[in-house]
Amino acid sequence: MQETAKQEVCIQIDEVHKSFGKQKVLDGISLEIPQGKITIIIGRSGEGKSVLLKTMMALISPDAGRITIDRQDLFSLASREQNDFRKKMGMLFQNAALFDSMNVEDNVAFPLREHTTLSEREILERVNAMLSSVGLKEVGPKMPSDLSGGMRKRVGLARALMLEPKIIFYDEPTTGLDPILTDSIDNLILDTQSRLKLTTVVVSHDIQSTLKMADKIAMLHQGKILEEGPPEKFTQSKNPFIQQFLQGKADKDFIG
Amino acid sequence: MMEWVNDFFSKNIWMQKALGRLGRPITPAIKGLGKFAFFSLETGKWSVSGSFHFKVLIREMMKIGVNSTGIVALVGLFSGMVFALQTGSAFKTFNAESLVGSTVGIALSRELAPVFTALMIVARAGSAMAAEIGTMAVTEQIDALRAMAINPINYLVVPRVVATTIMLPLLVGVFNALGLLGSYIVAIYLLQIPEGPYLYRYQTLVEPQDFYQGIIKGFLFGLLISLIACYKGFNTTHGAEGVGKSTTQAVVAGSVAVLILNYFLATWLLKIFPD
Repeated sequence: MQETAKQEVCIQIDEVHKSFGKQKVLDGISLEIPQGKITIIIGRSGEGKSVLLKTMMALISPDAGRITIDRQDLFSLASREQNDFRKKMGMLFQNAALFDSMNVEDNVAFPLREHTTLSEREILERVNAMLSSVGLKEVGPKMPSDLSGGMRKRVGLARALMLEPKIIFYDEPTTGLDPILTDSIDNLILDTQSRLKLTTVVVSHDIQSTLKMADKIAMLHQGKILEEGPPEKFTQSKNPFIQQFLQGKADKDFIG
Repeated sequence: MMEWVNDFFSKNIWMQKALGRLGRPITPAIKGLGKFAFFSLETGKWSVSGSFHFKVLIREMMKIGVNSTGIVALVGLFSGMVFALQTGSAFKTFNAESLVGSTVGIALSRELAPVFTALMIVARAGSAMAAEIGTMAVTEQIDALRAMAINPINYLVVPRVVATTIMLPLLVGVFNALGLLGSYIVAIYLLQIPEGPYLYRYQTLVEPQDFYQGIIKGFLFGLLISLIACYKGFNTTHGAEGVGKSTTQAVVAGSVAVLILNYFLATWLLKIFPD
């Protein structure tokens, strides 16, 4: 625990509130995301984990509260500065969100073509290097609709890493994948992390993966952080809800 | 004064309820208009200040304009033909068949060409735009653009709006040309109207400003329908069902807006170009 206290904080979330209409999604969230570590935010489906993630990327602005990234208050920036700020961050969306009008190569090359003045040859070199680093080869000319779910996620990750971000967000990276693919995506996240030393934030409800990978876990429940800390803290927790979540049991009268 | 009003309403609960009921359907409509105005302003701002995506513009001009040429030409041809047929048989009763050319010419260039072309483009390109952008919205592709520090209005909306605004007046020209050809064929070969008087009347009665009116209309219709289609697509939620709904709304709102705007434009253009 002392080790985490000394760690540098990368993202500081202070009392963030967000409602959609009458539905309160985030109800005063405060959380510190340590630099260069894997933080996993867990919670039931529909608890606003993805909303929290998108708030950190300034894709959604909170109703109240503050998010500070590298000591910069994200929502005090003008929209153009916010836009530039996003180049430091990458995000892998739940279903990869590949542009379905472009093939794999153009998808991955897209951020470079938009934001750099590299020559087409250099761009293609980098695209191929990036694709093989996420374990894909010779898929460049394929369209996203021709790929399997796991491959799409790999392409999505390759695209998110093209601008060499310092922070990477994963929105439920293993939802909808079989156990073997889940393990391979987990390994990909760990491998990317150890290779590039990124600050990694994962939103998940997959307990096995979370306990295996996380340096820090935060549990979101009813719009608040119920518990945060290293994995051991969770496995040893006496909180009945956390135990229930870890064991994956529904209440008798629960209708989900 | 204000105090009196407050007092009046706080005492009259039924009045509050009545006003509330009156406001319920109006409020979202005004909110929607406000959001649309903001969206249009944002598009205007980015079309001036944003980085320009030339490739996307060319692709959209191809999709919206070039690929619609055939169908617009076909509709133009048959509209001209049917108009000549109807006016021809009507004018025959008072021996004024030679006026068919000029009548069809004026109707086509001022009203039929811009309105029909705009309706065709709403149905063909507007629906496609709303569906494509709507699908991108519900599959998080628009969020992905923003996450990659790309403004989606600049990347998705500006090229489509610019392309439609450029292409629609050109398509109006195509509609006009084929419409005139159609009316010529029906009038001369079917109704046996003498060619000389037909062309003479056409030449003397149809002015270049009739065509300008159509082109100005086409330009403004293009701007309006593409903004509506992109706006509807952009604000799509609730998955596949939502995409369907946005597409329908884009076509309905686009067509209605064209017909309403057409009336006011006609009033204004008749003042600018008096007969």
